[in-house]
Amino acid sequence: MNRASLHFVLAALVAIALPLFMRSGTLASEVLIFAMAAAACNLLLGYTGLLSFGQGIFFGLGSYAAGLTLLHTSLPLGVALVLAAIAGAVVATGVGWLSIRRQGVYFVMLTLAFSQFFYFLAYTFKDITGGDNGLLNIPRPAIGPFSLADSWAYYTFVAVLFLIVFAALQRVASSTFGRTLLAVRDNEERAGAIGFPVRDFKITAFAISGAVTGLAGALHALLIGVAPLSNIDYHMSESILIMTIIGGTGNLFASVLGAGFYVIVSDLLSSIWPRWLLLLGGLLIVVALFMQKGLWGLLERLVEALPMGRKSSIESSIQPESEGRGL
Amino acid sequence: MSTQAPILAADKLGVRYGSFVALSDVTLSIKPNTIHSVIGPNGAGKTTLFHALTGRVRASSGRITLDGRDITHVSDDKRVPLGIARSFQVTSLFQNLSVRENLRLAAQGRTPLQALAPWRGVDPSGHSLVIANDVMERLELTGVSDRTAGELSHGQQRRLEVGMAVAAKPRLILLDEPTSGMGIDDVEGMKALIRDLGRDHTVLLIEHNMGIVMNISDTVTVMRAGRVLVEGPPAVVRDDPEVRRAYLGNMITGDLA
Repeated sequence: MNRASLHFVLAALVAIALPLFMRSGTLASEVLIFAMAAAACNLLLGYTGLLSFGQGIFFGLGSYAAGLTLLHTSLPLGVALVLAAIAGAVVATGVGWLSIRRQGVYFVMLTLAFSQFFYFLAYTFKDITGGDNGLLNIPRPAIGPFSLADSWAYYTFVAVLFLIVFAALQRVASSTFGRTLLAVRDNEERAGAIGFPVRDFKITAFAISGAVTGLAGALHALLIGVAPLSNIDYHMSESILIMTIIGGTGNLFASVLGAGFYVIVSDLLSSIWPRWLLLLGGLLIVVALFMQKGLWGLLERLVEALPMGRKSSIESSIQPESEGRGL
Repeated sequence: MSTQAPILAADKLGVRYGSFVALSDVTLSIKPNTIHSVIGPNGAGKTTLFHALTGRVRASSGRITLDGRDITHVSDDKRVPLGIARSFQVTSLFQNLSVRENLRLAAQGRTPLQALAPWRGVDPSGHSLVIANDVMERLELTGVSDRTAGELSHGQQRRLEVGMAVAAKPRLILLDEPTSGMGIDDVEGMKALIRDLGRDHTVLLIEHNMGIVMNISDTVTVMRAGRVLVEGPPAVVRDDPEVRRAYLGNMITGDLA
């Protein structure tokens, strides 16, 4: 089994296992929704080398786009989700187009500035977004004969979308496009010198990331019935980045681990101690200092330590998605 | 031969960095299927000339033509499909990618827009992989094809650096000090490789090793302080008094073939 299929199987196992171990369908859905957002963030951070603080913009816009569509029109759920993905992609293209004009710190600062800009935009236009209160009472219509009213029914819907999106992102990562992104991350100047229009590649990566993040935002709004202002807050960008980094940036499944860990641990800690974010901060420091491959790297080491010798299937992973194809 | 139209020509090319004049009034004409070397002391503007010719640095004045077509304002990535490729003086590879992938990317760079399609997989029997395998064969890198570029020895990295330019299937190949930092055994191999490349490419070469320059060049251009000092066949350049002065008389020691 090559690496990409292995990771897809792992993702499917997660989707199947969550209902077995969790009592709340809402929390389980949240794991997969943020797994999509983190994987989309990973496409920028891990594959292209772009640390974007703009992910919350696309997430929040997806929430608003889906909410507004379902509140003000009678269009079906599927259309609302597609519109959210398009909104995410379009704005990501614009934010990306402007931000990648600068590199390094200035690029990061630009995405941060856009993040603030869109937050205040949403805050200011209360008539559209509901401002501080958020967009309330977003319905969750049935898909054909299937009602999504039950939280586990909705989870099933999210899980199917998650697996489709995950497979699509894997396809992107292993395509000639994805492999060129790895080259851009590794040595941007040389990538340009051998003929690649680096900017076009970065903008396309942004667009794809924005579309997936927008979709995730829409699913989140449907999950809680609200498109809250916090979905477009800069803290959302931060959370998505933290999930991505804690999981590890080497491959897309790592982001699923990161999102799962973040969502579940936050839920557990917040019920025990109101200052739980402090612990999360400590964990982030540990990851940055001692385990730069994140949870995935930790998992790899554990598997290697097992006596069964499964080394052949999971190895050190700089670019695992593509290596499985005899690179 | 002398009446043949140049493949690449620079006309009064100038490059300024702020108030510093790195190149001024450089007029150069590269004839097809020749090996044309550029030599000169450090700081003479050789690498800046390469940067300008490949589009990495914008020309402040003058113009550059490829087959008579003005390419002065064409960006570096757009010059690759026109048939210009280069290697770098300071090794610049994709350190975390395999040797084969480095070369595959370099070959793909000729048709970069095909790679912009996120749904298209890498065809295992595809054109760019075939080229990558050919180049590895030619550069004797087949044995390390699955190693990452960062793991290679210095000599292998320098060969791969040249290979990146070869994989773009250019008509004009610019090599910036391909032997820099190489051991004596590797230098001979590189010399043979450049001579071999001269058979099916036009080669523009920056090189400090006079043994190579005087041996394999058809034309030598000597630069000093951003200007062209002398140009001519190796034998003429070698005995030029001005050139001897520029080099303080002690650096041109290579034998003529």
